[in-house]
Amino acid sequence: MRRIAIASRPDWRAKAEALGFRFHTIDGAPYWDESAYYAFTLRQVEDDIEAPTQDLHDMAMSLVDEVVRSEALMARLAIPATYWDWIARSWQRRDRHLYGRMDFAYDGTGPAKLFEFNYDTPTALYEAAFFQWLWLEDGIADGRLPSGADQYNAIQDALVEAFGAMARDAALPTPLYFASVAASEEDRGTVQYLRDCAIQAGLRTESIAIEDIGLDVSGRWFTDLDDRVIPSLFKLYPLEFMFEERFGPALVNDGLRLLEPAWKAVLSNKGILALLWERHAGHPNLLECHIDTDRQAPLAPGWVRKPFFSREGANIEAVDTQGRATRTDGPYADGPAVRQAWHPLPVFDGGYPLIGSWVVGDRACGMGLREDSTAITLDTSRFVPHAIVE
Amino acid sequence: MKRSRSLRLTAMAIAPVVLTACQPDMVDPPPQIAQFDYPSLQSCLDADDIADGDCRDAFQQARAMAPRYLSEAECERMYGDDACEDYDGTRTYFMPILGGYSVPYGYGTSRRSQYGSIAPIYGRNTLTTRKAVSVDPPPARAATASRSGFGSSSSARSGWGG
Repeated sequence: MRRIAIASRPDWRAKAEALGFRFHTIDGAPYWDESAYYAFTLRQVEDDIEAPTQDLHDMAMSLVDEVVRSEALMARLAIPATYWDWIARSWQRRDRHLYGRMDFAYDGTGPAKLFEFNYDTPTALYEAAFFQWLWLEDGIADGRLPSGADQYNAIQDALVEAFGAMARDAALPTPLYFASVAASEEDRGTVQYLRDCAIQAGLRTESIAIEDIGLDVSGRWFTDLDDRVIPSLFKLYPLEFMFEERFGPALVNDGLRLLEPAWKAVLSNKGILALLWERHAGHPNLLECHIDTDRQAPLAPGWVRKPFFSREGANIEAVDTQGRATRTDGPYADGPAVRQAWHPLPVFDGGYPLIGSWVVGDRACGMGLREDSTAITLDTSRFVPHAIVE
Repeated sequence: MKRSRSLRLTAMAIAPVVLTACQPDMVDPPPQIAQFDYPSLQSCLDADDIADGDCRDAFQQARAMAPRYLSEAECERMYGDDACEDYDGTRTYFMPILGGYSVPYGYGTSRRSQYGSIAPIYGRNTLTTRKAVSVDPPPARAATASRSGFGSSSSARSGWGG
């Protein structure tokens, strides 16, 4: 694994805009960064990323099966009791799921270490699945990359295949509505991309803003702006937010099929990292992790504290093995947390890369790297493409 | 080849595009695997879905996967009152009572299914009391009584995307 400087395509911005990638620059700061790429060997990709991703996914799915059958485990994960039966029903029905992303620290040698699962609302998808692929093809075509270069990226194939299976098996009532928060350009782009994949797979689709969703008098049927019932909803919006909001309790009436499904509430929660460690202590790809009973207690050197529902690196406290402490602010100051063994991100030319490894359906199918100039990845990180060159 | 052979965008791009990779290759789609739940070893043997030897093998595996605790109290703290039993008759370990086990379709023919796994099912009556889930087809229209019941957390907590 190496970080290699490379010339940017002179027309990449125009390409990005023509292809719907309007969030390549966020709040004036570059997000897509093709001034360098990470080079991997095929062995590194297959043995150190792809195979562990598949293993960890299978372990996580077995754990969902265990958790939904246990009220005690649901309680440990701080899932509100109102939703337990609804979550268990969605698992028993085998409600289809679409995608998830695991974040790994990896430096090219030794086992990749799992930082966390993003299994409910993962982003950085379009840039990994589509725009990164195009970057590779352009680089091979104009000779900036070796002709034999490849990329670990069958993500879009897997997305279209997963939507196609839903269409073929009538696994969801249609149309499937695609929803995100109206104000976020990045989220709207991700949802538009997923809708595009669903259309290619032959699903009937619609779109709506999360805030525009209505509820009928019976409290069972959710509606669009024309009073049409929304039978199925892809929501790029956290389940745990929905649980706390006014319409949340109406979800349990099963009038709306969700994607990601209700049972993903089990995996969108960092408590799952502690439950995995309890069952697979010493697994080479897991970091030691425990549910943190006292969030106010000072952290010992070598530990990181993460709230159950933290996203984008918010409210993380870390104390490295030398006792140096760092913390990020954020809105998740309350609520339960986990304590995970401190593990540094590797440094390549001043960049700290975090590997996002994608699972679609139940298949490990590709990766994307985000790089930051600090050791904690925030939503200010830059997406840097990768290639397999040896 | 580890990447897609060709990619399309239909609705997202300004104009629809189809792009093809430099080196086409075949990629097999993953199979869809169903799971079967059996309340007991006998029910698996009776069902004839898989060979009897594989039923026994899967049952042993599921039992071995159950967490073990050094005391009944510790186990009950995790799984609830009266939810645990002695693992081997010697009162060395306690485990949650198995109400059944879950086996991926085709288990035994491929030995390891990549898309499903054997799993224990905890709780004495989990499978027998499980109600069949019936889902009514939704109506086409419904009179909206209220809106904006979702979305309030995003303004209270800006920046949540994973």
